[in-house]
Amino acid sequence: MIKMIANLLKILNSDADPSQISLALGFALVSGLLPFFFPISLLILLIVFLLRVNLSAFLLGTAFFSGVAYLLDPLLHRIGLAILTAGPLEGLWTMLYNSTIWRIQKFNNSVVMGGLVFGILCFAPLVLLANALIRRYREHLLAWVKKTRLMQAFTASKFYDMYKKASGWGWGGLS
Amino acid sequence: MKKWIRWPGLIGFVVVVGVVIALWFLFLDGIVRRMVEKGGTAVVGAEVDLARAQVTLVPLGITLSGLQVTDPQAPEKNSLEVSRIAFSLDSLNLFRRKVIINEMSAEGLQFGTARKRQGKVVVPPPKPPEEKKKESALPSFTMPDVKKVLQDEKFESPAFIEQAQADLKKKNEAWQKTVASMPDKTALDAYQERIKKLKEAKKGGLKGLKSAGADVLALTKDLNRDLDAVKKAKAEFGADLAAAKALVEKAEKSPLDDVRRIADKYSISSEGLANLSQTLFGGSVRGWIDKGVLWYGRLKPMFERSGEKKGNVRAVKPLRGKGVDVRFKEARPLPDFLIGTIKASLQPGAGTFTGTIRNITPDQDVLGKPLTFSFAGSGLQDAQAANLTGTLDHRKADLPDDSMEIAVLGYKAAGMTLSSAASLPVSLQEGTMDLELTGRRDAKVISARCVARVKGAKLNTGSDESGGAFAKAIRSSLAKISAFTLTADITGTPDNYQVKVSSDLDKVMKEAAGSLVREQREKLEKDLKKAVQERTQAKIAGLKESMGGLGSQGGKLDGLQDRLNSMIKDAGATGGGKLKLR
Repeated sequence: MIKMIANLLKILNSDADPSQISLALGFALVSGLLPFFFPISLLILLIVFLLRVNLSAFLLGTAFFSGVAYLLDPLLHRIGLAILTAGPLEGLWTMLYNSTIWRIQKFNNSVVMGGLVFGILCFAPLVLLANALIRRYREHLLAWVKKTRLMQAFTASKFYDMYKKASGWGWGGLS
Repeated sequence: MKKWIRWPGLIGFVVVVGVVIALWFLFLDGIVRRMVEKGGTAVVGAEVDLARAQVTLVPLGITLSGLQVTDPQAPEKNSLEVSRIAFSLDSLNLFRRKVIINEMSAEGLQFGTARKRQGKVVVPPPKPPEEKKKESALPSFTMPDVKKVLQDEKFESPAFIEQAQADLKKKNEAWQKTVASMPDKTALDAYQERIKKLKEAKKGGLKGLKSAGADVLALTKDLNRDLDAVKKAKAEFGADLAAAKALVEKAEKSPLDDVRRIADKYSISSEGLANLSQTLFGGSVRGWIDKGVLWYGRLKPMFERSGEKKGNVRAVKPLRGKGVDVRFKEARPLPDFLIGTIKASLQPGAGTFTGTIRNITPDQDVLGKPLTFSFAGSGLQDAQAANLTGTLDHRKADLPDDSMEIAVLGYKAAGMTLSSAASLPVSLQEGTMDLELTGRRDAKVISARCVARVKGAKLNTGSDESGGAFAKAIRSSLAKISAFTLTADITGTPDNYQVKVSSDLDKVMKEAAGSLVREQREKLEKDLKKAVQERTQAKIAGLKESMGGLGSQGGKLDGLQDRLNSMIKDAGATGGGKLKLR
């Protein structure tokens, strides 16, 4: 948990553009709510690699939202089942069900559909909210956090050096 | 735009995905092995081990070697061991998340093999209640000591009679209150006084008659109201009295019920004597059948899937994973999992035993075909020939229709336990058995018949000489038997079925031990009767007395009704009209 908070602080305190971090968190939400190594998750991974979003924030966010997904499974199942069994959409689902490409996505699973819809709906609000919060954090709290013992200890560590180097390559922190 | 695109990221993506895929391929065999072990263990409820899994990509196929399925009832043994299973997968349908195996071959099937180490049992098999009772349900074949029987057994009749007496007392008290609430002597005297006054007014000529008219009507109304209350009470009393009579009758019979129950436990009833094979072999036969039913339940997910229909679509639980998969109408319907054909060969000591299982799928409704199986063996080490055919039709989930036929010719039976009763164990030491089994099961009914004809039989009834004269007589009669037929009829519902065992041994055993059993039972019943009478005689007398008390309340109601009727008649006479008595 402490490591996770330290990682979060590390990202927030970096020079990365807030919009790159918040966008990474948005993609992490969708990816985290879907099963690991899923076709849609792969597509998101490709987008994350191609777009200049913060990879560390994405990985951290994915780990966090994967944990949240376990708690949300019953809710996601209900949402997914309601969507998949909605009468007006039956024609659309039947058409997709008969297509191999869509069947690979396993869209007809209640948790997958629930996670995808929930993730897409929360994507924009999360990105905007995270963006605003990061900007406010950097304006009002960053100076104070940098002075804390935890942060000073962390910046003095070898791990931080490695992180900074990786940031320089254009990966990792990495915008 | 350029600010937002990171083209080297494409290389990173390819590398990451490539590494994951490479690792996946590297560990694919192990992943498949663990999946088979985990999935198998979940289905069977006991440890499933697989020595090796080998996956080939072109063409896509899997070979499993050294599959061992622990027997949940005997974890030191395997219920099934298969040396090699090989199959190819329809790769295009795999992309559609459909596991379609056109043909699977299973070689070297063996049953009941010993394990190197004991297997873990994840879900312990439920113990059928009959199995627990099996030993205690068998009557002792020795003459029981009545004193000990009386110490061990509790008569239920004294408590029942006491309870009946308490119930009667309550009823009696309630009716006493009801009768007390009816018009008493004072009220009746008041009515009588009003009638007398009306009679006097009638003598007072025309003027008197005019004023008396209204009084007659009022009096008649009052009398009828009371009479209605009495009649209603009488009707309720009649029902209560009938229930009380039934209770007393039952209480009077309860000592004899006690005698019969205890005597049945410690000796053999006349019905039991006529069907000793049921008493002796019923437990073992039931055990074999329960084991079959248990495996049927465990393998059921392989040919029937639970699901909930929602409108035109169906939500089904996937075999693995979370949530539910919703199925929609397919242009070319295919089950999610299907093994078209399994060609299996068993590994007998000699001869051949091969068979085919077709259409293994939990989605028979989608495939439109039932699961069928057919095995045949000849020249076997333990039997001349064996045939096994059956159909598990679950195309309509609410109307399943399963049937099976087994025929085994010349099975060399050795050391087969027919009765594990401590008082009279019976096993078939050697013999040649012809076995025929036909069974059918649908949603409501299960019915099956198994006939075993044994020739050249040598029955072992144990070396223990316990059991007294009865067991001795049975042992001696069974020792002379060289051929017999044992029939088991299974009837009932799938959840609650009965097994009735009959045999031509019944006649032999009855002739050998019938008179002994009858004498023994008569003596036991006589002693039990005496003991129970001592404990219940006084209580039954008290109960009858209470019954008499209740009956007297009815008499009071009768008397009151007669009196009110008489008064209504008198009141009518004073009015000059005629009133109908009720």
